[in-house]
Amino acid sequence: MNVLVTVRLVPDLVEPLVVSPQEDNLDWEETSLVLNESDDHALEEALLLKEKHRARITVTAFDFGEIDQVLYMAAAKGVDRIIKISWPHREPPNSLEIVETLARLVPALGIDLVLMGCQSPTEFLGMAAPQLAATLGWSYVGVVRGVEGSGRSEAWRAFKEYPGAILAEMEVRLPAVVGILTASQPPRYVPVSRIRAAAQQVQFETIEGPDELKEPPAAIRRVYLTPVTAHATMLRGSEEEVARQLVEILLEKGILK
Amino acid sequence: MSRRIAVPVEAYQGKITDLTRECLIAARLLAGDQDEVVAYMFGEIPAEGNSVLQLADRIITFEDGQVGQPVALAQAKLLCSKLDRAELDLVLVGSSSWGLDLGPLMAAYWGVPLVANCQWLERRENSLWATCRICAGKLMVDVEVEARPAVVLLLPGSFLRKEVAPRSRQPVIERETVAAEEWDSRVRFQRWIEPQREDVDITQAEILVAVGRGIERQENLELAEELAEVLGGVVCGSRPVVDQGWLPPTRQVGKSGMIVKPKLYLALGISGAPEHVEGMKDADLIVAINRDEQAPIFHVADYGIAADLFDVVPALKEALIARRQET
Repeated sequence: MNVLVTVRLVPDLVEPLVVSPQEDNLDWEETSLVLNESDDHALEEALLLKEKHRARITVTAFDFGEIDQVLYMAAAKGVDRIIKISWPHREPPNSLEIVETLARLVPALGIDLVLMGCQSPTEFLGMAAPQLAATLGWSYVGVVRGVEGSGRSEAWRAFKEYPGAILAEMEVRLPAVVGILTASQPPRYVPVSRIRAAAQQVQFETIEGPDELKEPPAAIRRVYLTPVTAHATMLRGSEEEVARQLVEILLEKGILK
Repeated sequence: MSRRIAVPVEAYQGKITDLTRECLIAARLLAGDQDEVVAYMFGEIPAEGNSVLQLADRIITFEDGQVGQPVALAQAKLLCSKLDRAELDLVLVGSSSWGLDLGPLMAAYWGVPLVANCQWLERRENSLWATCRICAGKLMVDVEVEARPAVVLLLPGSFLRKEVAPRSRQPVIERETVAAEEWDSRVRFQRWIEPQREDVDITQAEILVAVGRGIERQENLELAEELAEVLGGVVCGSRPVVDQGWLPPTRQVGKSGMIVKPKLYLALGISGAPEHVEGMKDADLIVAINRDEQAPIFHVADYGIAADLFDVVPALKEALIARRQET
């Protein structure tokens, strides 16, 4: 079975975000980027399929930001093939550009199963995983916490998450795109020394990105930091001072007795 | 000319979801008296569903075969084949696990715009304006949608408490048949899997110490556990912590985890993504510690400390122990 995983860099949400002066996008030069968490989980799920079912894994990514570091990490974890898609732009590709590129690439690679994060934090005009499935005419299940073989080569099991930590077991006929929320196990750790070694050895294949940028399906009028409509009463001072203030509040509210 | 707003109805565990009700309220507000709101129900209308569906002008039910099972792929295909998109202005879908599959698939099958993470929606002349909340709730985007129909995935929270005028007449209920060949069976529902209940039920805890991405490493959970012990509480977490396997899924607070209402919710290193806030916003007292003062958790917290949790938590633990020794 041939599995494709697509990895994307997204804003590091632990850091403050900066909006461009034109208020039409993030200021990408000021934005720290990290691997999209659910894409990291998609990669882990693919590695588990490789271990259990001898799947062959191809990883693809647009050449934006420090994507090489992510691809070296993927190589160190044991993926079989890495394809980098050229992307000479200052902003990352939008969902439609990702879908268009992958819809061209996937049939040419003989892929049976695409695993990708079911959502990325910057998606709002489009969602790449389900829209890729629809464009390819393939099966789709998203918000999935793990994929398993079912004993039949064409039908696989995906575990879709619902509220209350309840899972729906779904049978999915291949070819399919599965939108991964979380892998069956946490993404594996790979030592820095192995990543460095992979960086020395791995050869990326490269392909051209889309010929032209895709206009978003709606006009973006303004991008801004979420306004503060209500705000916590902030406790200020040294750690000891804020701790003392908080203890007094908990006493006053009757939470501490 | 009258426009039509379609709302696919999600029923979960035998009830129509609050998010579907919210979509119907939003649809009703957008439609006013002139436009038509049509609810599309997969399976029979649940016993308590009539009051929710009163918000629609028409209810169309699909009841044949497996249509009531939660298979968004087949349901999206069915809707796309049954609905005349030329008559449609908008498809409004709740941004739930089911809706996150159904909405994008419909948009892609039809080749129409998809607006995801929509928090607010209104008409301005001939355009539809949506405000989307992205990047874990830190960023807002205003978009203008001209092409029709559009598919919008609505986040919970903005429309549920909006007043809508009662309808003067009952909705018309129509039943559509579904032929076997109209049902895409490439994805099939097999069964529900309940989580293994762990040591504690966080929905019953009065004090919760919740950890998020800011806890950084599994070994740092000890800090939260020690604080919870001093407070007489229980540790829970947001999605990233559970996804790392540092806490079991039954300790996850949020849209896809548990909905909690403790007396105290102490959020450590949690940014406050809408999906998380949905699970804890009704706590009696919310205290947040996060080094990013922009973090949306401070918009929902009663008290906030903009500092490194690794500095504040040990100091708080010591202050609590000192207080206990005084009394």
